[in-house]
Amino acid sequence: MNFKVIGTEAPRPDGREKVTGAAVFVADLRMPGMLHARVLRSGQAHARLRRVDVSRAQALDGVKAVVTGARFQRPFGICITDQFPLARDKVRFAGEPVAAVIAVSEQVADEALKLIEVEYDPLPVVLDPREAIRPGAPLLHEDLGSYARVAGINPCPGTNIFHHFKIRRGELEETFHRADHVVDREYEFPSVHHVQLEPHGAIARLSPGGDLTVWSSSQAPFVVRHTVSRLLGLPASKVRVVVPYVGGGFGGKSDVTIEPLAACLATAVPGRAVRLVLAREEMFDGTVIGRGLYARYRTAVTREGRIIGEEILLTLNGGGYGDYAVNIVGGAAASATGPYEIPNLKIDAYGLYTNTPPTGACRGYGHPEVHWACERQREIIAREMGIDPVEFRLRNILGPGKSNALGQIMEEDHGRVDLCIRKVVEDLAGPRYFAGRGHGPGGRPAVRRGKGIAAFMKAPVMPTNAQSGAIIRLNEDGGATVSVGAVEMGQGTYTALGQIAAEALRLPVEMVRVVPFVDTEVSPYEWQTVASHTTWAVGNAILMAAADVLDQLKVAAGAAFGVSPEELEAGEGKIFLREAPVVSLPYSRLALGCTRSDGSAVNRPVIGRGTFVPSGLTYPDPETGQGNPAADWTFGCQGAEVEVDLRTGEITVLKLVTAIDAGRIINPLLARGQVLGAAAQALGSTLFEKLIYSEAGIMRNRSLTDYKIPGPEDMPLQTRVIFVETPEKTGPYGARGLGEHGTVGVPPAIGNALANALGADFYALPITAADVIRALKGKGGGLRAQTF
Amino acid sequence: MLGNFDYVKPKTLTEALEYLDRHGPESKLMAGGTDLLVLVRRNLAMPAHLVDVKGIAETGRLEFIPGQGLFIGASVTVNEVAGSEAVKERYPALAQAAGSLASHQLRNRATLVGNICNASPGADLAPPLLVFEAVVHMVSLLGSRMVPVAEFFTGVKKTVLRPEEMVIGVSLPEPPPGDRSLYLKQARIKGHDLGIVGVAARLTGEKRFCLAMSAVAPTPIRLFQLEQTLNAQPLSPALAERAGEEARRWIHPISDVRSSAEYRTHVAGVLVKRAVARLISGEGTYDA
Repeated sequence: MNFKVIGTEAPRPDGREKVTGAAVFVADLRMPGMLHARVLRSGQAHARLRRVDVSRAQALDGVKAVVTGARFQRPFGICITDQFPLARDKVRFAGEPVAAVIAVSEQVADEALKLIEVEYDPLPVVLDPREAIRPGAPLLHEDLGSYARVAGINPCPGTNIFHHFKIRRGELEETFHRADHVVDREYEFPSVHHVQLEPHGAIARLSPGGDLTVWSSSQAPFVVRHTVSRLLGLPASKVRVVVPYVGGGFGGKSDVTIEPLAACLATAVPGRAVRLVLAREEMFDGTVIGRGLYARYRTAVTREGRIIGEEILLTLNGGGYGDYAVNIVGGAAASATGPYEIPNLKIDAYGLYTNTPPTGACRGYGHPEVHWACERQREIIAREMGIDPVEFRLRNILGPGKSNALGQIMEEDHGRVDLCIRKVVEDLAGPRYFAGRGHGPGGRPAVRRGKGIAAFMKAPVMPTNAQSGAIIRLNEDGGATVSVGAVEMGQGTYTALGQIAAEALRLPVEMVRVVPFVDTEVSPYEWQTVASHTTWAVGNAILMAAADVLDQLKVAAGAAFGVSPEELEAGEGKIFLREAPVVSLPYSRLALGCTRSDGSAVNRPVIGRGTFVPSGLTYPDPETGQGNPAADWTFGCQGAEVEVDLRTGEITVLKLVTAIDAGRIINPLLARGQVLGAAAQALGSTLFEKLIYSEAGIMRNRSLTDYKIPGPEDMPLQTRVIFVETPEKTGPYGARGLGEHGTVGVPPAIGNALANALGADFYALPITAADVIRALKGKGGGLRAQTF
Repeated sequence: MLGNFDYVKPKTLTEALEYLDRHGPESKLMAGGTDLLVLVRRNLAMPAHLVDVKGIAETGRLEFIPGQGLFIGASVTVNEVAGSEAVKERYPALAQAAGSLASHQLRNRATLVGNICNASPGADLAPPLLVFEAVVHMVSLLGSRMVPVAEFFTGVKKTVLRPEEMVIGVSLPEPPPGDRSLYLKQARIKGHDLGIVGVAARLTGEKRFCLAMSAVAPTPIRLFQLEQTLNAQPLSPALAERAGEEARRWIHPISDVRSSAEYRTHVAGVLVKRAVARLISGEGTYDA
C-alpha cells in the first residue's frame, strides 16, 4: 500500500501551545462566580467515624457550604458499587475524603478545614494483600455480598476478596509428576504512583435548570457522565462532561476519581461552579495508586526445556475500594504466562481490599506486574537447567497456531514475538549474548556489567463491546473537522487520529483538524481513553466515518456529473471520474452542498459518521477463564545492559532496547516517544519508586521530595526502539496499540541484567543500591535478594 | 495551602533588624524560599511575618578578595556560587556541592545562606563550608557576631541564630596554595534529589585533611577525630581504606524514607574512602 500520511512524522498540532504554556487545562479554567472546594481527608487508615462536627467550619466567613457523607447516601462504582463520594460510617484508607468545604477561596476553605472536628474509633489496619487474604484478617467491607456488581465479578463475601479470577487448563497435578524440573519462586511489585504532571482537577456546576456540567481532567468523560448521572439521579442527557487537554493520565485519571465528589459538591451550592483541584500531595493518597502485586510461580519443565505446566497465584492489593482494580485482576491473570504456550495451567488471581488508597489502572494494567514475575522466572529456569535463556524462551514461544492462557489461537497477523526477541538480542550483544557472569570493563575492578532481556505481550483489557465513534464534518474549504470521544493526555492521539483521517479522506494532514477537547454533549461516545486501544478502535471508527464522507461526496459528484458514484474516485481533495480524471470537483465545492448553474442544490452538507465495537469478544468462562475476551495483542521484547558500582551499589542502565510489533506505525516519532516514555516510567519503578506506609497505614512519601521519579540524568545512556511491523488485520492500516507496552518488559529485563551482572536474584522491586549492597554482603534473604 | 502572614521586604539592614527586633519570634527570614515556602504550604511552618532579605544590598555581595578570602551574601544564589570562577578555582568542593543541589531552576532561587540557615542534617552546602572553616556573620540591633560554621548548627533544623538576628553572609578564608578539595554525594536518583550522604574532603597544602559530612547525624558534621588520625599517618592508598572504615565509627545516621541507617553507614565509608583516595592522587581541582 502506498501511504501519503501514514508512517510520516507529522508534527503535533498541540505542540506549540503546550511548549509555550498557552494550552488550557482544567486548573486554568475560571467560571463566573466560581467557588473553591477543599477536602478534609482521613488521618486514619481504618476506623469507624464516630462524629464529624462541621459547625465551626460552617460559621467561618466566606464558607458557603460544608458537606459530609451524611448528605450523599448513594454508593457508586462501575463494576462494584463499593464506595461513596464522602466517607459515611467508616474510613478505609488514610486520605479518604471525610468532609469538604466550599468557600470563596481555597485559602478560606483551608482555614475552615482546620475547624472541622472528627472523632474516629480506630480499627485494626491491614496493608499487605497476603495478610488481607488470611482468615481473621481485619475485614474492610462487611456488606460486600450486598454490593451491586456487573457480570463476571466474583467477590467472596465475609472476606476481603472482592474478585477471584480463575484460569484452568489441562491437568496440573499429573503434569508436575512428570516434570523433570520444577521452579517455585515469589515476586513482588510494590505500589507506586503515576505522578502525572497535571494534578487531578474538576469543576462542577448545577444549573438552575437542573442540569450538571463537569469540566474534568478525566481520561473517561463518558464514564464520568454515567457515574454522576446515576449518583445524582439525573438523565445522562442532563449531565455534560467537558475534558480539555489532560496533562498525563497513565490510567490514574481513568474510570472516575474526584469527579463524583465534585459533582456532589456542586449540588450543595446550586448555580455556582465549584472548583476542586488537588494539591500534589493529595494526588498520592486522594486518587488511585498503581500496581501492588505479589505473585507465586510454580513451573513444571521437561528435560528438553519445554514448559509443560504452571501454577500461578496472584495477590493484588486493591486498597480501600476495589472498583478500580477488579479488571486488573483478570487482565493480570490473562497475561500471567507471558508470551508462551503452556498447555497445563492453574491461575488464581485475587483482588484484596486493604487499607491503602485504592489501586487503579496504571500504564500496563497488570502486565508489568506479572511480567516482572514471569520473565524473571523464565530466566531462572533457563539458568538452573543450563539452557541459553534466549533459546529457552524461543522453545516455548507463542506463535501462529498456538494457544494462549485463555485458549485463543494465535494467527500470523497477531505479531512476531520471536522476531522481537531476536532483534533485541542482536542489538544488545550479538549472538554470544549471555556468556556467563558479568565482568567489569577494563581497569575498573569495582564495577560489574550485565545484560538481560524480557519478552512481553499485552492485550487491551476492555469490555467485550467497548465503543468508539467518530464524526467528520467537511468544511467549506474542503478540509475536515474530526470529532472523537478520545482524550488527548499527552500521548499524541489527536495527531495519529488526524493522520488516519487524512489518509482515509485523501487530504493533506494540515487540512484535517481533530477537535482538541471532548464534550459529551457534542463528541461521539467513547468507552474511555485507556488500554492503548485508541489508535486501534477510534482509528477504525474514523475509517468508517471517512468512508461515509467519501460515499456522500461520490453520490453528490455523480449527481453533478450525471454519472454513477461507482465511476468516481477520491484523491488529493477532489472527486474525479476514474476514466477521465480531469473531470473533477474539489471537496470544497461539495462540502456544504454543491449548486447547479441555476442555483438549485445538488447535495446536502457532508457529515460522515463511524462507530466501532470489537467483534466476537466474549466473557471468559467463570470456572476456566477460557474464552475470547482479548481483541488483539502487541508483542515485544526489551533488553537492558546495566553497570553496577560494587562499592556503593549504584545501578546505571547503560542501554535499553525495545523491539515491539505494534503493527503498522502511524507516526514513528510519536510512537518512539510513547515507547521511551513508558520505558522511563518503568525504569523508575524498577530502581526507586515505591509507596511507603507507616504501620498505621499513613503514606510516608506523599510528595515529590520523598517520592522520586526518573529525571533526564536517570535515562539510559543509549536507548533504541525497533519496530517490527506485522500489519494487524483488525487495525486501521494495520495498527495495534503501543502506549503502555514500553513499561511491560523493563523491570524484568533490568532484573535479569542485574542477576547476570552480580550473580544475585532480586525478587522484589524496586532494586536499590542498598539492596545490591545487602545482596553482595550475603544479607539478602526473603524477596530482596538471593545470590547464586 | 498557605496560611496568613505579613510579607515584608526591607530595603535596608536597619529596617530589617528593627522589624526583627519587634517581631523576631513570630518571623521567618526568607531568601530564596525554596525550603521555607514548602514548609509554609504544608503548614509545617506558620510564621506570622515573612521577612524577605533580598532587598538589602549587603546581602547580594559575592566577592573574592585575594589575601582575605571569599564572602557570600545571604541573597547570593546557589547557581551564582556554582558558577563563580573564584569558587570553582579555589573552593572546588563548594562549587561541586552547589552544582549538586536540587535542580538548575531551584538553584536559581535557592541561596547558600538559606541552605545552612534551614539547618537540614542533609544540607548539601554545609560540608564544604565546614572543611573551608567558613564563618557565619550575624547581625542584630545589638551588634554583630561571627560564629564558625562548625558551631552554627545545634540540632535538626536548629542553629545558634537568635530570633532578632539575621545572617548577612558567610566568609571563607583564602585557601593557601596547593589546596585540594572535592564533594561527593550519593542520592536515590542521579538527578535532582536530596543526598543520602554527602562528603566534603579537603587536603591542604600542608597535607592536613579536613572532612565533613551531611545526612549522617542530627547536624552536618566535621570529622575532627578522623582528621587527626589521618593527619598522623603518611599519605598512602591504605590511608584511604582506613579513612573509609573509621568514618563509619563517627557517624550516627538514621533510617528514613530515603535510606536505611545501614546503607547510609555503608556508603558514608565508601564515599570517604573515595574522597581521600582522590585527594591523595592529586585530584581536587574543579573538573578534575
